[in-house]
Amino acid sequence: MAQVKIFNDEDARYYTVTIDAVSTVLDKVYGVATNATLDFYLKLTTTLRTPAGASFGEKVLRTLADVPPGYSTAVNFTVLVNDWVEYYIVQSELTMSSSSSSSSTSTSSYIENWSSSSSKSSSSSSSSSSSSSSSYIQNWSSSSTSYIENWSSSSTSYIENWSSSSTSYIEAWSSSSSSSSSL
Amino acid sequence: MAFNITVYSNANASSKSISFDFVGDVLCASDEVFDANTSAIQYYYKVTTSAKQDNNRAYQVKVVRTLTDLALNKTKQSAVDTANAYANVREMVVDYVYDYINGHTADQFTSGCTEQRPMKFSG
Repeated sequence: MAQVKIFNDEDARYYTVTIDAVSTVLDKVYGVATNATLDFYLKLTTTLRTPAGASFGEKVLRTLADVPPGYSTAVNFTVLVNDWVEYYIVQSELTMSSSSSSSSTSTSSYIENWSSSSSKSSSSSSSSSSSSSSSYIQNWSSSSTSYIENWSSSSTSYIENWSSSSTSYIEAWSSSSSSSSSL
Repeated sequence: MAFNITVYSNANASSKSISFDFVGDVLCASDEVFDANTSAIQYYYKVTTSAKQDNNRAYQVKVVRTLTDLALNKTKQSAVDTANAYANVREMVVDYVYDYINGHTADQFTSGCTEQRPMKFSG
């Protein structure tokens, strides 16, 4: 068994991707034959979750072509594993808050438990908002008319038109009164 | 978690086990030059067995990093004279088990491999 350990700086948690060598009888769903047959393959599981909180489930890897959607056939097992790890990290949006574009364009996420320190304003730089383990943007769910623009840039960063959708909210906003957000 | 293939010999009423594990290690094998700048963890099947060849020699650990790592010197399959890659993990496992049980001659199928004796079930 091989296990890849992923540390997410933003929530200070470890996630794992586990790859097992497995032998079992697969049914015809997996297509070795029309009848059930003994098969050998890799079973891929992860503790990462989708942005909605759902499990990615088990993946059965029988060939080097069993790659994530949009990836090319792997040349070896190392590339195969690395592709899946990359896919899981991207799909779970672990890196979302480190990118202003991803948070400002997403229509299915929201800011949850924003907990920057009292000395931090909303116009803080991207490095402070994305690198602090206690400050992060998770699951930004604003509507199309509510967005954060240039969130991670310099002092010109601001939140504009924050108001529209009832499903869009900032929860536990705790930055100081010096915040320049026009909520 | 690995899986084991148990091979039973009717003639000797004994069985031997072959283990297939999937691991991630920094490989520093004889066929690779370790480079601290570029070498990284590699993921591969590690095939081991405590059985011996019929000349009482142990088997080497076998490393399968891709489906083109064929049983005979990485260049030929063991059961048939072909250089085709294994179509899937199942074909790879079956061919490696075949190779353990039956052994092969030196340079079998002009693969450049060294001799490997059949698996010993007696004694």
